[in-house]
Amino acid sequence: MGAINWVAGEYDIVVVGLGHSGCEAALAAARMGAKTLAFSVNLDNIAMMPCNPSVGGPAKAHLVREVDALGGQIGICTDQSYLQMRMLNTGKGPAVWALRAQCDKREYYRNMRQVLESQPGLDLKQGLITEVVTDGRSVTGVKTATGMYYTCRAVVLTTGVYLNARVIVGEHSVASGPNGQMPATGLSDCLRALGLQLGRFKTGTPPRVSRKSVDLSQMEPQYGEDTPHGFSFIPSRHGRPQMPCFLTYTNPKTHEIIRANLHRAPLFSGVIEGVGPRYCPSIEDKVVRFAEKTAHQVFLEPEGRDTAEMYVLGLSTSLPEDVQVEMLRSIKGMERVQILRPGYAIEYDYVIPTQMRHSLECKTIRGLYCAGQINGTSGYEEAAAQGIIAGINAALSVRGKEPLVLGRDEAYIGVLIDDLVLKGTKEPYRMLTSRAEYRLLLRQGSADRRLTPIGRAVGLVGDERWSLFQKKQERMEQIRRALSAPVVPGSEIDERLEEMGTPRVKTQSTLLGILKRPEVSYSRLAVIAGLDISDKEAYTEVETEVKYEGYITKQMEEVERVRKLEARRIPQDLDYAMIHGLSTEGREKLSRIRPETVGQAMRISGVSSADISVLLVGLHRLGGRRA
Amino acid sequence: MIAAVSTPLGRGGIALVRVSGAAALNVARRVFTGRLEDHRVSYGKVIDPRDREVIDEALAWYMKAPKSYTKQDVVEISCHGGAVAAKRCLKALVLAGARIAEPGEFTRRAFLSGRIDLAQAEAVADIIAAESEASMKAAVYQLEGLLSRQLGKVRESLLEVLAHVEAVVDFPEDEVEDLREEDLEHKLRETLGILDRLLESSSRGRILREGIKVAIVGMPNVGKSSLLNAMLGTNRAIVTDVPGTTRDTLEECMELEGVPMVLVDTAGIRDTDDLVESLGVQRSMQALSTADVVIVVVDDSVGLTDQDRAILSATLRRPVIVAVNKVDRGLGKVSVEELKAAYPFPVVRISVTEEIGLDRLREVLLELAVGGAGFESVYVTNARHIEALKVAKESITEALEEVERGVPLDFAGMNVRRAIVHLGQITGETVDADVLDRIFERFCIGK
Repeated sequence: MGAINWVAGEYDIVVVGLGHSGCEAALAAARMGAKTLAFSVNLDNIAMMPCNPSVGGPAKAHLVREVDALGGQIGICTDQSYLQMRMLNTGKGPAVWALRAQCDKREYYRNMRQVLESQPGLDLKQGLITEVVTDGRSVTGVKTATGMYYTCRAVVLTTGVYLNARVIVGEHSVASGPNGQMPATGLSDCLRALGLQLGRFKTGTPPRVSRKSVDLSQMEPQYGEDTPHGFSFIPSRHGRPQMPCFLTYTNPKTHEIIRANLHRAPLFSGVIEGVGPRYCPSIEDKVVRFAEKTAHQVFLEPEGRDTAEMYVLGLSTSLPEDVQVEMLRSIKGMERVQILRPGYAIEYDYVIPTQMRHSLECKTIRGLYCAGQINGTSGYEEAAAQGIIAGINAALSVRGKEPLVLGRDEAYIGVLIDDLVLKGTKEPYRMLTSRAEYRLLLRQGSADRRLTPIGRAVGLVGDERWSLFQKKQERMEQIRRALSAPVVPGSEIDERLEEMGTPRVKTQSTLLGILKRPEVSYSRLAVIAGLDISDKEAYTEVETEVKYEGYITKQMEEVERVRKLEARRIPQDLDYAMIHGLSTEGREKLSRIRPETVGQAMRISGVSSADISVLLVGLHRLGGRRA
Repeated sequence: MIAAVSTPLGRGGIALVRVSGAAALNVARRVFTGRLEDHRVSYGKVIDPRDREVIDEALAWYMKAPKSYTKQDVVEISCHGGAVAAKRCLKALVLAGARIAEPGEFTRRAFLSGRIDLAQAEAVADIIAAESEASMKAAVYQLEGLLSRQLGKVRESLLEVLAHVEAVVDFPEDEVEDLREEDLEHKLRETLGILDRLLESSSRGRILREGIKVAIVGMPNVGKSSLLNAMLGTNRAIVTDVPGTTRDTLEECMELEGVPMVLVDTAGIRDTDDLVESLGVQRSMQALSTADVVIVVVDDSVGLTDQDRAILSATLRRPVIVAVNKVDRGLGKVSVEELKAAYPFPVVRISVTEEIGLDRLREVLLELAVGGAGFESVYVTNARHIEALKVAKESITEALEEVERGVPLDFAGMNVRRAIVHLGQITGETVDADVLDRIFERFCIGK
């Protein structure tokens, strides 16, 4: 204990963990001028993707675009390390278009590590944090397993799935982080001692196989798009060669093997206690729950350009390794497969997220922030989104400024955090477009207009990004102006309308009026009207605004309606015991979560509409007494 | 601690006086001499707590919290009917420490304690305001959750649709089979049908609460006044104080098979010498404009006059019954065939003085007023519910249009969500978690 008071360094902010959340938190804090120190248990594995080598997809792509718009890194690093890029949901409305990238895992790591190392004001260290030190009310520092003490004013915990982690493969179970990493032991006890309540979740990953051992010609290749989109609003595309993924299927024999070995599956034998995510079930779970299905999709995805390792998407499992081999070999094209790493389940501690404020600061301990999987989420994108907000707010608090809180109508990030801190989660939380009630306002194409000015205001958006943003806004304005040009019956443009399969105008209209027609696209209208097509992102956004104006207006009206309740503040010292008529559960939840507004209170699960009526009456009486 | 007489004052053989609150038992013990045990009926005397003077004999029972209507301690005392006894009993309770409840306060307590949901609370309010047997029934059915059940069906079906739309959007690379447009259309149409029926019932619902306005119009001396009196006769409403209607001397209330009616008596306009006949027509027109059903009375002994035709033409757009009066005189100057050919109205031949055809007139009136439907169906009577149903209907209609126009399905999804949200405002349910549960139940999703 001799080294306890040996101060190894003095910082504004310490970030614990350098996964996708920690990287964004550390970069945001340092870029905002806070003296920042970031720890990883293994500096060779920062920004690791221990599961799918993929970034994006519905709602997740939206998060990446938003983090980027605020001045984050995940979008840029993905654009610099993708193996394949595809826009999903293009047959659906613009609100749910979603970019998805396959990434080269090691390249992603190298890119991110380079950015972290070259960031002024940010120090990196390898070490295991075992204690967050406080003076009873506020954070004062952290201690490492080797006895080093660092003082700081804020700590951001981004420990991912490492807290008291246990890896399970069949009958084999061992204390371990993901992918053979060291687990974080000790910190959970410290957090409990600080009065925080922890829960336990479970997640899993499929086996990795060698490309040399599979017959890809037996499978259906899936290629990326020809002119790939990028995640970042800062373009960094330089025509990267893409790699295909391969589709095959399980069959009745695969399912038979799984059923015959269910008694050895930790999920069913009771070895696993943590709650797993429903959207990411293991193959044994899928076979049991959807017994009538005779085949499930299996994708083989490259993990990198310079490795033979492939990820077997669809076969997340914690069955014993011998069963995994047998199961894989029953699948077409995988008859002689060699497993490089078996699939496994991992159990870990998380902090019940309703103990956080919307700023991601802990309600009871000043300066302690939690972000990423420690808050019960799942996914690199969800982690990055919380990381940047925790980093920003830690830096703002060090400066003595008010925290940044994004609304549900402003960003998916806002929906994510609002859900976490008000409702909590019963399974690892994944972002879905269906969680956003105003998703037409939260298009991935509008992320920059929604958030880049906010990123600029907090000091995270640099001059390059800001100038690019302003130029795009100007171009969009020019496009809007150009679209207001009249279309006169009998004019040259009018005569060419039929080329696009749309009737001529009867009375004078505008290009805008023509663009509103469902059969007319901007790119085709541009040909006959000589419109600017140099910036696809800019004109696609304008096109969306024009075509879906009615829907967008409707959602904005709904936002206004709800905003009134959002504005109705609840005093933070309100004694809920004094409000008569609240249900027991409602009273308990309200006292614990302490919503700041009536709007927030309404979203807390267990608070009934009757409770809200009682609360409103109570607030009214209170208002009367105070007045 | 609140107390009130829970049955209408002065009506019925017994009156129920209710006390609710933490000290209900103590208060009740000061005025009731019998033993008060949880959920047991006992006999005793109601006394004045000041001098122990006996006010009445009564039965009483105690319901311990939370097993009571308000989830608080409740004591109910069943004393003799008649305004005096009940009021004295209530006064005794007040003397013992209770305060007189505000109108609807018991229900509000029940709602606030989570004992009943919003739809039920509003149903209770409707029961309190119920002015007739039929509207009472509608409110009771709502209370029993019939409306909630119907809405539950709609919600179930919409959730199913939404879960599918959302699953396709959120898991594009999973094996979620695409939602077929014809399936979606079918489901939405089905839902729209139910919403339509509920909304249709709402116009009847309003009628049940406020009474059907029946205007009796016609030229002077065709027998309007006597028809009015004949109709009122035994059917005169017990309660004359109809809320929401401006009562003046020209309106009378009655009940027909339990359906409340307000007869607007244009016969009340006395035809005096200085009133020209054209003015009589004008007055009748005014009465027409607010009526739900119009009875146009014509005189069989005179024949159709130009004024009669003017009135009939003016009423083309609302339910009308033509009553051909004075058929007992056998003059037959009004031809039923001719009337039916010229106007799309049912015609009933009557004689008020000889009581001919009056039953038939009542039948037709009831048929026009409430569509002849029995009262066993659900009636939506609450303005807030009607509004929510309208928004839901509008959203589903839009969703259908979008599907037809080929707008991407996620837009239809937004409208379906809107419909569910608004229906949820009636029953107090939200949508988020339910949609997700549905997605994960139905579709095999995941890496």
